[in-house]
Amino acid sequence: MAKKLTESRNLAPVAPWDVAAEVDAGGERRREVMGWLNSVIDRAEAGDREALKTVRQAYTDLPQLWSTTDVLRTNAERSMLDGMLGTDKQLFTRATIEHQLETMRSDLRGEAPTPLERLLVDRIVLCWLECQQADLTLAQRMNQNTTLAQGEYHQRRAERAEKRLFRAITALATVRRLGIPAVQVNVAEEIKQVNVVG
Amino acid sequence: MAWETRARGGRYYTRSIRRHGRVYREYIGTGPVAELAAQLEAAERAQRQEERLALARDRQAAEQLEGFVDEVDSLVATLTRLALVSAGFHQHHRGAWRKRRGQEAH
Repeated sequence: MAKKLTESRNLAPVAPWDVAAEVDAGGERRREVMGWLNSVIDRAEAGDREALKTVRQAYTDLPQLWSTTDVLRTNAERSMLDGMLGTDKQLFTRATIEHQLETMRSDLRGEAPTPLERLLVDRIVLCWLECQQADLTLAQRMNQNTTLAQGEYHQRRAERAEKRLFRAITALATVRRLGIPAVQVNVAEEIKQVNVVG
Repeated sequence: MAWETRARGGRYYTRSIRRHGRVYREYIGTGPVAELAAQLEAAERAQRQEERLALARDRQAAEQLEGFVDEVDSLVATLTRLALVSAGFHQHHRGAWRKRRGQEAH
């Protein structure tokens, strides 16, 4: 009985159409819902037809998830630039880096990117920025009288950022190679309205 | 805490040092020399404390930034898996993505 309850709870702690709102709520609840979504994807991958149905429904019913990711990515980029340059400081350098990020984004997107490709490109750009920030911090700390432990911490952080960038690039290459059919997601300006065409 | 008052009168400045895994008490003395040693040690302690705080702030800032990227990273990773699995692919032993046999693309 206990097992049954756990299974049913694992199957649907939240209705698929509520997932986006739950994810949007942020914090612990977001992690919980994303964990559930990943477990459903795992089951679908293992051949569970019911789970596959949920996955397909989630994929088309969750446009908000895409916009939430976009908002989080924009905030993360801003925080990263603040971390590198300070808030409202070095405005010319900031504008130059922002321009560089946009150029990179546009080059990687190509002419007609699918929404998923756009998301993956945005992740690559964010990870690249993180690599720059981590390398810069490491170089700065090495020039200061930093402790060995602190130096090692920043070294490991730079390595983690590099691995993340590599994973992000691999994911884009995989999606492009496999040619995933696009689900059209139109995100209105300021992300107020989202329309999906299946 | 490093000042000790003796029964026969007078204050002695002492400090604890660790040597070969054991803690020893070193007696510095009394009077102006001991006062000076106490002031120097207090200044060094304050500096070490300041450095510790600076390192903690530095690490906290780095962890916060990494947390932001991590959140986006895991969301995009989930969405990518969602797209691939719903299109009929599966990951072979956590390696290459393959089309599942007999399954149509969504």
